[in-house]
Formats: sequence, structure tokens, C-alpha cells
Amino acid sequence: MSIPEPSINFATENAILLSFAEPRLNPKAGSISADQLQMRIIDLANTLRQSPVAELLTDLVPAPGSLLIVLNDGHSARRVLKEAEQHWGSQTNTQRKSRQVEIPVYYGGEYGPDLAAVASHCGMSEQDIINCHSTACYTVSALGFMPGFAYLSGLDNRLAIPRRKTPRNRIRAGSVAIGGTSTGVYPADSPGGWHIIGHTRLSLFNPDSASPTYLQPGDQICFIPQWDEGSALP
Amino acid sequence: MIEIIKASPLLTVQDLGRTGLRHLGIPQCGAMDPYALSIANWLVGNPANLAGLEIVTAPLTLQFHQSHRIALTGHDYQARRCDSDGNESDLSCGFAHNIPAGSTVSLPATREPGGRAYLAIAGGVDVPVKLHARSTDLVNRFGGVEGRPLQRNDVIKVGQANINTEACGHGVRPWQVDGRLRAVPGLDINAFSEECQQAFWYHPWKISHNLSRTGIRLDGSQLDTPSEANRLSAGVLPGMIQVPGGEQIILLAADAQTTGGYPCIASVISADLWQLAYLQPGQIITFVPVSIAEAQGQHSARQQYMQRLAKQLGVEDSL
Repeated sequence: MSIPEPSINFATENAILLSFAEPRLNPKAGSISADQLQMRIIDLANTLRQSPVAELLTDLVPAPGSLLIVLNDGHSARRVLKEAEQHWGSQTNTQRKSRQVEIPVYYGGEYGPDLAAVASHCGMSEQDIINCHSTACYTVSALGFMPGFAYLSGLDNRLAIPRRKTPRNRIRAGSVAIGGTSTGVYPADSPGGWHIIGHTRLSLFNPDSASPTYLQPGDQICFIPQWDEGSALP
Repeated sequence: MIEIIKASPLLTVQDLGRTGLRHLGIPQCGAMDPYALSIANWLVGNPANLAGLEIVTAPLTLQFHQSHRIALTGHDYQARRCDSDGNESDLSCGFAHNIPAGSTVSLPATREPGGRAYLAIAGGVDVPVKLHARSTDLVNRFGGVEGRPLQRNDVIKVGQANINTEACGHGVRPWQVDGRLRAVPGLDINAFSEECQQAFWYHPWKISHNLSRTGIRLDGSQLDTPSEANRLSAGVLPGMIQVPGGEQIILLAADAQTTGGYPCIASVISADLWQLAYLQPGQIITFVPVSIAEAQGQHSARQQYMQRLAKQLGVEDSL
């Protein structure tokens, strides 16, 4: 299995971006999948956090297909890159077992005001959308945009839908939404253009907790449908 | 205890901000001019990282219910002290002052906005630590006082002051904002045409009215971004200059989100980032290109300068 080598660039004088060509865009026989690549990037970040160079690092920020290494002082770039290279080369298959996280979701009804629109756009029934969304398994590629917001990969491409023409001024915390080829959960009230198909009562960001975000990069998650008088019927 | 009698807009509690949490989507926050807050802290005998007040504009009036030693740095708002007998005196910027119980400290209204000022109090502003810092995150509404700007009638608790330090007699002159921001080429600079790059460097950019702790929008030339520059979101940092297309660019500041997808044409060097604290709408600035090596050298030089300054002020502290 071939593992892509990153391109390495200074993003600022104190930060390095490792970016990896997307395997999807660059298909090669025997190359690893985008999800496998992403797990390796996340593993690399976690390994560096435990490594002898950890004290030189301010932040390690994985994003889809990249890792931003933020240094206390850019002069240590060479040393940190050497360490990173060593771990990247020696990584066998994903070293860490992913956490499995379940997110209970109330779909449709008052919880998912856009479920009907999504169903009609995709040419499926509302129940099909719910089944399709809740049987897939998703990977947290990265967190960003706001505290605890997870970029999820794994959306069934039949559910892809362009963003709303008019974004909402306020999407309430816990909303489960689809936008483009992505799906996600809003950790806090926020403006947004994604289509809301459901709602979870989990709190995805809590600044009072030692582990402030419910999700972490690399988690495997699935959505578990729930029903009450306000949701779509089973 | 210090009570806010008259609050100015966007008055917040800030320390040097949060690090190590960007992979969870948690931004840095902290003083927009970390050097000014550090110096104010040192002047009153605090470590650099204690929380102080970030003042964005005047008028502002604070009532001191106990006596405290304070220092003001950053923009000089011509602050005045008025004691319980009605005696007034000037509080010069960049010096430590003892404020007796019962006094008020006022920053009078000004016609010349000049950006942020920092008020440090011996012992530091005592608010609960949230995610390793006391800084207010206005966007995500946590830290500081309930994650919001301070309001009239808020009462600020003060931590235990370091009683071993004598009042510092030295003063520290503020640095001059020159509106020349040195920047290193950004990750996507080669996605821009030669023409666009020339239109970016050295040319005047005007600070728009859309500026906050999250970012500053600047008006200038139209920079066309080729479609191949539409890339996946990646980690972003304060100082990065994003080009969404159109005639505005965005200079990310302390509260900026942690990931972004807009092409990055350049990044303001860390040694010049403090100037963002003082930029005002309508002001013209230019971006001056420097190499990565030069930017790293400037970073080290700034750190060394701050260490020397700490020593001269008699504080054993590192940034």
C-alpha cells in the first residue's frame, strides 16, 4: 500500500502545513483511501503530542487532507519535521482504535424543518432519507469552524444537496444538517446555510469540561434515530 | 473589588489567550496586543499572563472599592484618577499607579480613536479559568465574565497581589504604530497572478468598518483568485490574510476560527501582529514582504527584547 508524501510549506513563519494530495483526486493502484489517509494524519498529530518535540509545539490542527503544525518558534521547524517524518514513515496501519460514538437524533417534524425539502430534492421518501443518514458510519476528519463542530466524512452521495439559497440567521445548537456532500451537527446557535434534517439533545461543546468537545478527530460516529411527538414517525 | 460605573463598548477580560486547543475548534482569543498586556502586568508586579482589561474605546469609569496598584498601556486615553476627596490627577500611560480605596479611574470621551488600551491590576482580574485561560471568547460566549463584554454595575474581583514587589518606578514607552505590516508569502500566493501579487504588496489598503477581534476587512484592489485556488479547509491562524474574492481581503485576528477555506495570500509576521490592536476604520496600511527567515529573526528579536524589558522591570518572568 503506498502512502502519499506530503508537500511541506511554511504557512506563517511559525507554522508548517503538511498537505496530502487527496487519494480520490489522485487514484493510484494500491494507494490508501481518503479515510485511511485522514486517520494517519490524525495519528501523526496524536503521536507528535506525546513525542520529545511536544514542548516545541503550540498546536496541531488536522483538517481534511492536511495537518497544520504550529510552533512556539519557527526556528525549530527542522527538528519537528524530522520527528514527524520518522513517525509518518514508520506508521503501520492505523495504530489507534477509533472511539465509537453514537449520536441520538430526532429526525424530521419540528426537529428537521428541511427534511421534506431534502427528500424531494433527492427523489426519496423522508423515511428513506432517515434510514440512509442513520445507517451510514461517519468519520470525524477534523474539528473546526466553531468549537466542537466536526467535519464528517461518509455521507451517502445520494443525500448530497446544494446549500440553501438563503442561509438562516440562526440554526439552533444540536441541529443535524446536510450541506453539499457533508453532514454535521451544530454545537452552538449559529447562522448557516445547511439543510436541517434533525436534532440531537447532546451537548457537543462544554467549556466547563476538561474534555470540552464531545467529538474528537478520528472518532467513528453513527446517528441513532429517536422518536417523540415532535419528530417524524417511525 | 472594582466596579464598572460607566462601561465602554467591547470592554473585555483578556489574558494571553488559549493554546493547544485549535484541533478542537477552540480559538486563541487573548489580548490583541499581547506585549502591551504583558508590560502592564510587569509594571504592577504580575506575571505576563495574568488577566487584565482590554479597553477598546472611551469613555469608561471604574470605581475602586479597595486600593489597588494598576498600570495602563497601549493607546493613551488620558486617564484620570479622582480620589474620595475629589482630588484629581493624571494617570500617565506606561507607569504603575496606586489607586486608593474610594477613588475612581476615568478614561474621558475622546474624539481621536486610537485603538486598544490595557489595564492591569496587581493580582490580576480574578475570573474563573475556562480551558486554561481567563480570556473572554466573545464569539463562543465563554471565559472572562460570562463570555460577554463587561457592563455597568459589573464587579470585578482581583486576585492576590505579589506583596514582595515594590511599586515599579520605571515607565515603558508605547511602540509606534506605523501601518506598515510586514508579511510572509501565504500558502496560496502562487495561485494569484503576478499582477494581483503586485496589487497586494506595497499598495494602500484601507481598514473598513467591518473590524472585530475575529478579523479586519480591508478595501483595496480587486484580487482575482483562480478557481484552482478553491481548496479544502485547512488550519488557519491569526495574521493570515484571506482573499474571498471581490475587493475586500480579511486579516484574521485573535478570535478567528481555527479552519478556513479561502485562499491565503500572505501572513502578517508575529512581531507586527500587535499593531492590529490599534487599527481604525479609514486608516491606510501597506503590506511589506519579508522572507520566512527574516520573520523568524524578528520573532526572536521581539522575544529577546521582551525578556530584557522584564529584567529591567525587575520581574522574573518569561512570555
